[in-house]
Amino acid sequence: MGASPFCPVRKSCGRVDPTALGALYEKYGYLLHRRCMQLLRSRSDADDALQETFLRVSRYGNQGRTNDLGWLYRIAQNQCFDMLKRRGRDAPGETAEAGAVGRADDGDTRAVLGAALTRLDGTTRTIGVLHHLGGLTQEEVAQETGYSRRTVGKKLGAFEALLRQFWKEAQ
Amino acid sequence: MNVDLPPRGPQCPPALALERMLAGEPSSAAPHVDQCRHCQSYLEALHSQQVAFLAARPTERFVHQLERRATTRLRWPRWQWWCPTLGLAAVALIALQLPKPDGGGDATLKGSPFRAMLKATGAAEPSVLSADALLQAGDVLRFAYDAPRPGYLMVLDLDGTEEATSVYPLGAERSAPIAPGGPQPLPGAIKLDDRPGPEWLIAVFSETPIELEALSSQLRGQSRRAKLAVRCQACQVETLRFQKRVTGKP
Repeated sequence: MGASPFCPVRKSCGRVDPTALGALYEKYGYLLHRRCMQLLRSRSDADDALQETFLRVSRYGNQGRTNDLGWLYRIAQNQCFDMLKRRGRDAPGETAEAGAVGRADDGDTRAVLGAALTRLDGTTRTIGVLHHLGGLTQEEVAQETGYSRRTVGKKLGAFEALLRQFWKEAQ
Repeated sequence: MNVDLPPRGPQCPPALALERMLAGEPSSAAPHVDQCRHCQSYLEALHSQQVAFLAARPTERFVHQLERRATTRLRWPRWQWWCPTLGLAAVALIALQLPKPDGGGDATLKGSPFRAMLKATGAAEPSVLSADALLQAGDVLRFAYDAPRPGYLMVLDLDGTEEATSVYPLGAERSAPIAPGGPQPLPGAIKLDDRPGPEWLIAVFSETPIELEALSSQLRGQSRRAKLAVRCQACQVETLRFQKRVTGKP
């Protein structure tokens, strides 16, 4: 289809266009909710974050982007990180290294990972999430984010080092 | 959530590529997936979970929730942030009347540190807001507080939608520092909209900053009670209820 699925989500009167938004939700809602669950480990928080994500999309549109899922994931992730910071709750996400540091369902592990996630800058978090949750290789993360392969490697190293440090302190 | 998704091989594309396929986006992984039973199983499992998700959270209900949330958010402009147009010296600060013991506000001792001044539509002078006063859209409220020592203050509004929002500092997520002494007029004023009441004003003074969420989560659902219950360690909480004259559709 020629037009982006986001347009028009927002009617000229400023209200949400339910038809367009509904179509968007059916296409992406499950995936976004799943990502929020991975980060927040709480169904009610993930529901909240999902609504906030769609509200932002309905407000700002996709601004001509074509890589919709990646862009939506970033909005959803930012909502989740803001929520983690705001509520002060330590509900981390499952990473590829969760098996190394402990079960993700363990309360201590959640506390460690959540504390680590809120300490990281946005870029490092995004890169960490893309690699460990999205399963992208470093090369693919570089393509996805526009950062150099070298930067991605450094940021991932920082991400993983912080996790190990927090885990050590928590022991 | 990663609920029991089938494993994939080391040569398989990343999960994100398959998620894009699920969303109907073009993906360079399509030729591989066509030949790979691991990826096909993964995609089928994702699809099943998506179907279950949408069955549990129907589209129509989600959009309705979103519209309601968006409407609640549009309430923010109702609190018009007015620069103090009244000269501070011209505002006569008179102590609030004692609240009624059965509600309307805290049954506190005389001289509550929190004061709300009402500038009613058409009135020449502001007056002290009393408990259960009947207000209407367009009325303007200003606040003053007499802090006993250096600390932090937040004034919240709880209305019939059971949402508690910060009206001082306006729209903030945590309380603001306040110096001792007073009563000090708080900057700004708020103009009431036409949503029906009852509404509560809640002033929370503490020695350390308090997050809005810690208070708003407690206040949710209490607007129709005779007395608010607020648990806040080492805080001083003052409450004041007022009624709203219904003038239009909420």
